Amino acid sequence: MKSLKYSLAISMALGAFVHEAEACGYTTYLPAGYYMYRVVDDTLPAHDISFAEENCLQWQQLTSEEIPLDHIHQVVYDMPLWQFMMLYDDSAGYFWTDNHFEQYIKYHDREVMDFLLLAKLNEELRAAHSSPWYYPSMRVEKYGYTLELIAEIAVESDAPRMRDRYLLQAIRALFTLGRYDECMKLWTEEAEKLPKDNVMRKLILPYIAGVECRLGNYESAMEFYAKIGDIDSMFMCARMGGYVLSMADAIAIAYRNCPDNPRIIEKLQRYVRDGENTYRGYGLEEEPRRLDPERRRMRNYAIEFASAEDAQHPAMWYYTAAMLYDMDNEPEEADKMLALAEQSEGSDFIHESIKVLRINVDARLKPYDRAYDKLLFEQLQWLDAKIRENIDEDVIETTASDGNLDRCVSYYYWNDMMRRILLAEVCPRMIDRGRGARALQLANMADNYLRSLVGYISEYVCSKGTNYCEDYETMTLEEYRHSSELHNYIDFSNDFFDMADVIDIEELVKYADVLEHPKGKFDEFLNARGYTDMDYIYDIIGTRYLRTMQYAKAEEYFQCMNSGYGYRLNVRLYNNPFEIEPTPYYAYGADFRYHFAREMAFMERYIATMEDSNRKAWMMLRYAIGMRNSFMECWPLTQYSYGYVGHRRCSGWWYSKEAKESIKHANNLIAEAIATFTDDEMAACVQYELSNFKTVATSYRHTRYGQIVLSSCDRLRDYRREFVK
Amino acid sequence: MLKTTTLIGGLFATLLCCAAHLNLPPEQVVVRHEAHDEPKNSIYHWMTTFSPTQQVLDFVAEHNIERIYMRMFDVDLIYNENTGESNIEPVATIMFKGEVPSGVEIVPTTYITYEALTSLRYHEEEYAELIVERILAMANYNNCGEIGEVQFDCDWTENTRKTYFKLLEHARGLLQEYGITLSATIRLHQLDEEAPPVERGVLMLYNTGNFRDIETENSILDVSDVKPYLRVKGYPLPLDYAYPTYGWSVSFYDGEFDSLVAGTEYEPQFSLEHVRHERPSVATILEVKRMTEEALGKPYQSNILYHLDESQLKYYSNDEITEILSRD
Repeated sequence: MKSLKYSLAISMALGAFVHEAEACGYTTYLPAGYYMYRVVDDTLPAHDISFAEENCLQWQQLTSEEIPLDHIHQVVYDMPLWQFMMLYDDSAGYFWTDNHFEQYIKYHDREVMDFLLLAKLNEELRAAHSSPWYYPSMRVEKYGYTLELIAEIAVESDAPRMRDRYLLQAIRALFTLGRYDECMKLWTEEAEKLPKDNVMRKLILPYIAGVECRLGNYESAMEFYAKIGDIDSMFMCARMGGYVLSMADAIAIAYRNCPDNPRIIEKLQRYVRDGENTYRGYGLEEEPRRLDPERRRMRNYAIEFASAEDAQHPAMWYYTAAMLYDMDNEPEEADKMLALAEQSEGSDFIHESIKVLRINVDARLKPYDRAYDKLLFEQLQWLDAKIRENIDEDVIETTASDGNLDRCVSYYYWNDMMRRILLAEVCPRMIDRGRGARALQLANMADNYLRSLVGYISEYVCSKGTNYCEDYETMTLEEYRHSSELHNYIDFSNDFFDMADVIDIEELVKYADVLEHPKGKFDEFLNARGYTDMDYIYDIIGTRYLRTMQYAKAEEYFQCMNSGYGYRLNVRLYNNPFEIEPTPYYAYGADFRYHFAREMAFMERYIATMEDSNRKAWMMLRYAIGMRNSFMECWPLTQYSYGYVGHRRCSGWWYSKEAKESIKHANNLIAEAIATFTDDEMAACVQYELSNFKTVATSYRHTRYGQIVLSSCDRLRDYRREFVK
Repeated sequence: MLKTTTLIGGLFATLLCCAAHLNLPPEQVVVRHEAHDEPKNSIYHWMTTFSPTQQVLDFVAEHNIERIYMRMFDVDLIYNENTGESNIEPVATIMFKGEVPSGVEIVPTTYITYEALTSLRYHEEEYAELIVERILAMANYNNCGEIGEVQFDCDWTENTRKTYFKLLEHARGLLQEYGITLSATIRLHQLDEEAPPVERGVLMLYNTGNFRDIETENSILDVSDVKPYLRVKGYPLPLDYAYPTYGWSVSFYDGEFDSLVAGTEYEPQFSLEHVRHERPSVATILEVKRMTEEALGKPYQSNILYHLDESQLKYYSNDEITEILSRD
């Protein structure tokens, strides 16, 4: 127990510090929040289940090798007491099944029947003792049996081939009754002497740990808990004993005691992962990417365990240290540890995890040059293969029917990792290095590859522009994307779209060019894994040009699109963009952006050549109102959404400085147009339409509109003062 | 090994959720009904720990308190985060850290919350059994002596009456096997309603007003609050009367109710905080006593104090306590 005492002494200053990941509801994470650390396969059942499997195997050995394990499981674990009682007593009402174990024990092994009846009674009685309604003086009984009687029968059982099983039942009953000394007696006299790999002995150990804890032998209890890898109980016992135990220390202590216990490795994985996803979340300020002191302590343990002479899992521990350095924003140190991990002995499973972290660390450290492109291509090919090889029904169903993909919820390791590395690490760096087109290619693959592999969507479908969601529907991605009725929750709110919405337009244009003219295998690889419908891409580019008021360029892209694409958008144009006040207008139809761009481009050309100042002023005014409305009342011309879309934030552009400047520019143009009028009657008419009545009455009192205003009202105001020069 | 005939015989006998079946030796809990029916000075104990100090013991002796209505636990609806389910469970179970004074009869009492009551609909029999068994087990375990009466406390209304009365009926039947009387608290607003199926009641003459209302003068006891309810002439059950001997501070923040603070020493902590100190005067208590007896007659057995808390009882002199308890 030397190591435990030592560790407890040095851990006094550190309290337990565990972040629990939000796993339910609609929490949304950033791509950086995907769990990367992986030392056990969490898609497999937890280790507790394996005890059940081991137990069923032993039952098989005790009875007949020909009985299927699931038949044994049904009787031992799933059959309720009342049903077993009917079987036991050959009750007339018993409904026989084709369960072989049931038939075998009924006709060939009464001893097993007796034992199972006792075990099931024990469980029911123990449950009653654990009920909140229980009070110590209550005499709890079931079918005439009490827990005391069960304990007595189990202790006195003389069935040698099931002595270990009766010992477990006796200790369970005695533990519940608080007869701890008798538990210890059974342990020291019998159970402790069972072979260490005996399942019953393994199942008895937690009770003995509990006994020690309740008897006040805290260190001994924690040693037992450490041996079985029950770190949560170690914490509980430490608290009862007045010790302060950190999670890192608890894991280290448990590992030293029992390095091969899968429960400890499971706990380690949960612990490291809890640190992974707490960095950022939508709606939260980005926090500095640093590790908490306790996890740094875990990192030190990892290095210690990895570099020990008799290290048992060196690759796993070097990998753990590398991961914790990476989480601490020290990729250089992570790189060193990873190199050691790569050279160390470990399972294929661990080495695959190492390779994922390698891709991540490379993304953080390598210069983004041609050599890195080549490396990244190779790494993505490997991830691509993993995604395709490991996809299963659960992944397909979750991808098709849940919002997990959009919300960056960890659910499919290989695709999660591709998304995390590309979206959180590679894309931002690519953009910083002026390679926006490549970043868009990568983001498109990250968002759309798995969806394209799945090929269909199955969710509550909602009508465009409303919150009314109809029944669950299943349809192909193509049908979903081409629907004129359904709100598209995929293509206008993912990371690729967010990026395309704000990246330099030149990069977007380059990206469109790469889609049409790939320059190599890597381009082809990425293009093949993204959503590359050119109408979708051109619409984004055209819309970006509308925002920057480059109408001729916008027209250029819109005119390349198939007519009717606008029906696939989530927005429609309902107002006339050239009216001062919102006025219903549907003449543009689905291609409203194209028609608007074309008209604006035409006016630009017309204004440039027109000489008559009043006619020019009218045209300028119409042009300026169109421009202003495209950012305000007629926002669907320049936006894909207003406010939030589902769980996503709205377009970043909407709140940008650029947006505010554009609106200001449009307002200035309106004022300029008004000032261009040389005909007072026309100018007065415009100010009247703008509801600037005070200006009409003061500056244009001699005009027809001046007289109308003066004869109608004597308390005059300008309602759009921004247009009064 | 196991006796199969015994097992089959009891197969459908117990279907309780926790399979607990109480088996108390009857002689430990049964008292003769006549003995229990004697008038006795009584008091409620409504705290979660029974740890009588010397002052409490002196008070009990001095005022010849021979019966304590002891709240054993509340029955509430509890949400379980692990399972995501809500279960009806006993909560705030009393801890006995001292001996029950000799010669004092204990009436185990349980308070049933509205949430629990609405949830136990259709399971009245099951929960009546659980409650009764637990009460008696607690009384037995903590040496509460011979139990002659058990009391249920619940603010039932028209909507919950049916469920509550079913619960009482089942509990009464179970207790009758031990010769134990079932009683229930009666709130003023329940005087107009059908009487619960119990053998006696205790009329609660406290908490008569709405403490959340800033306009309320004294929510613990106010003659004007009680008066309208005492227009009834008689009640179908034998009634004892419970009078308040406690005070509290009601805190309002910016005109809105904020909290209740035990005792009357609490003072405002913030500029927008207003505190109303409430402690019914003996004159008020005696006036209510007079009105009650005029409307409903003398108490069946006792006037009962609410409640046994030395920090509250110190505000009342011995004579005042005697006067409140007096059955003359």
